[in-house]
This record gives sequence, C-alpha cells and structure tokens, in this order.
Amino acid sequence: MALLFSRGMALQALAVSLMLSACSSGSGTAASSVKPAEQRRAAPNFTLRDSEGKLARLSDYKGKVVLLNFWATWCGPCKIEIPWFVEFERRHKDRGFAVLGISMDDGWEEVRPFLSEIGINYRVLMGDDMVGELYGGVDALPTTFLIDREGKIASVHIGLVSKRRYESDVEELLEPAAGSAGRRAGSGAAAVLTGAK
Amino acid sequence: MALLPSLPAQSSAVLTVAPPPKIAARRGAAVEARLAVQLQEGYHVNSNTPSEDYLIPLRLSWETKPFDVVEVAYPEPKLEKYKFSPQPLSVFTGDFEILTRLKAPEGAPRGPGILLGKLRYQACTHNLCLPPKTVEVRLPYEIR
Repeated sequence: MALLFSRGMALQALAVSLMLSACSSGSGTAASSVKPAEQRRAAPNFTLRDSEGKLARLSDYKGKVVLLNFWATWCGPCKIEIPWFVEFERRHKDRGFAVLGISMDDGWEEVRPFLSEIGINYRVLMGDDMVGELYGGVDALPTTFLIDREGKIASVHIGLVSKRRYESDVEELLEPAAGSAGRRAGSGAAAVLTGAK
Repeated sequence: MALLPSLPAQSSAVLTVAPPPKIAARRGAAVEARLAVQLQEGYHVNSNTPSEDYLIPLRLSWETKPFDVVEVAYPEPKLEKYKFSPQPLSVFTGDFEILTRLKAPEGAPRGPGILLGKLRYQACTHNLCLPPKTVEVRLPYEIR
C-alpha cells in the first residue's frame, strides 16, 4: 500500500477538517446537501493501491464526479450503502461519474472475498490512517465524500444516510446547468486537484 | 503492606474500563477478578459471540504469568435489532462486567504485582461504526 504526500497536503487536511463540521450530515431526508461552489474546498489528492496492486490517484479522476466512500468489512452500516454505490456506478459511469471505495481494513485478506461476494463494480483501494487524516480524520464509518468535476468536496456524509440523499447529491453534481458547471462560473476557480505529484 | 496508588480509569474513546480492585490470591487457589466496563450511551459493542462472521468480537485476554487463566466469563449478550442488519445482533450495551477466574500456581512468587490484560472491542451506533480498539487493563494483585 502506498500513500504519497505532497506539499500543501497538511493544509488541505486542515481545510477539510474545518469543512467537515460545516457540511457533514447524518439525517435521512432527500434534500440535496451539496454545498455552493464557492464554499467547496479542494479534495486532497492521494495515491493508494487497488486490489490488483495498481496505483490509483484521485487526480486520475479529474473532470469526473467522484463518490469517495471510506468503509470496512466489519462495518454493518457500510454494507447497506455498498449495493447503492454499485447501482450508481452502473447507472452513471457514462455521465462522468465514478465511485471509489477506500477500505479501512487491515489488509486485502479480509477485503478480497467481500469484493467478490458483493460483486463490487467500482475501484476499491486500501486505505490507512494517513489518508483518513488527510480527509479530516476519518474515524466513523461509513464516511463518504462527494467530489465535483473540479476536484472539490461538495458534500460529506458521516454514517449511514438515505439512498435518496445520495441520489439527489449525485444528480445535482452531474447536472451540467444546475450542478458543478453552473456553479463553476460563480466560483471563478480553475479545475484543481492540488497536491498531485 | 502499603496500598498501591489508585489507577486512573482505563479508557479508549466510547468505552471505559474501571480500574479493577486489587485481588489477593493464595498459591494453588483460584481467585476471581471483575472488570467493570462502561459503554457510552447510543453505542453497542459486538458480544464475544457475534451474530455474523464479519463482526469483530469483544475479547479480554491476559498475560499468562504469574497466573493461570482458568476462565474468562462474559455477560449474557443482548439480541438487538439495528437498521443496518436484517437479523438481531448479539451485543453488549451500557454497563457490564467481565469475570476472570485466575489461579496462582503453587510455585508462583509471593508478593504484589500488576497483571496486564487487553480488552479488544469494536463499537457501533445504529448508523455508524468505529474502528476496532484495544484498551490496556492493569489488574493489581498480591500473591500470598
């Protein structure tokens, strides 16, 4: 498992940490929890290995809406969400959408059988405490970040929330007019995924 | 003999273990140690016999010397239903106690000491889980 840090990541982690308190949600209503573009912060870049040993960087997904899900095999609530994410990946992958799972298990030994059992159709990476810290100290699972096409964190969900809420958030971010494209003009920010080596 | 200084509560996040009272053991005889565990309201930990294979059990383990561990007896678990599981789960909640039966071998050295133990657990609420954690337990004893 590899995790490559670059300059500025500590500051990014701090920013994410501060943002967590402002935009995390745990309720189950279907209202979108996507933040306005001007309030979004850059998602810290990372490099981790997937189940085939290949390196994956968040920056590889630049231009896509990314659902970044921290989970573990011992986490019951995580297992409720994963089939939803499988469905989202299937339904939206052709619209510039990708799910990335970050397992917080101790190693692939526990995770690989689970991937086969559930039939996960998206990329799963092996995480560690460092990537958790990078995202504001991910401790409770599941924790899920929705990242817009500009590589900015649009919403954070800590704990099990409703499928409808995810659908609402994803649709808003994928929708060109009302989503990130529309908000992009207001933000004045160039597409960024800073910290990439 | 002078009393050992009182020990602070041994805790890790949502679970706290009260400092166990000192035990006095005779060589060749069994003795019981009770460990009082307090779990923050709203959380549960998997019992020592979880309902599902993927769940991490609560487990208390002790250093083997100078005592022989005869038995670790966990309380009766509760079967509770959570929205993330179709079946009720075998859990502990609130305050509970774990009993350990120890035996000091005939040849055990007399005198005071601290027996070290580890309590491993994994806690969840109805909608999130925390990573598995281990609390170190210090059991003061005197072998006579």
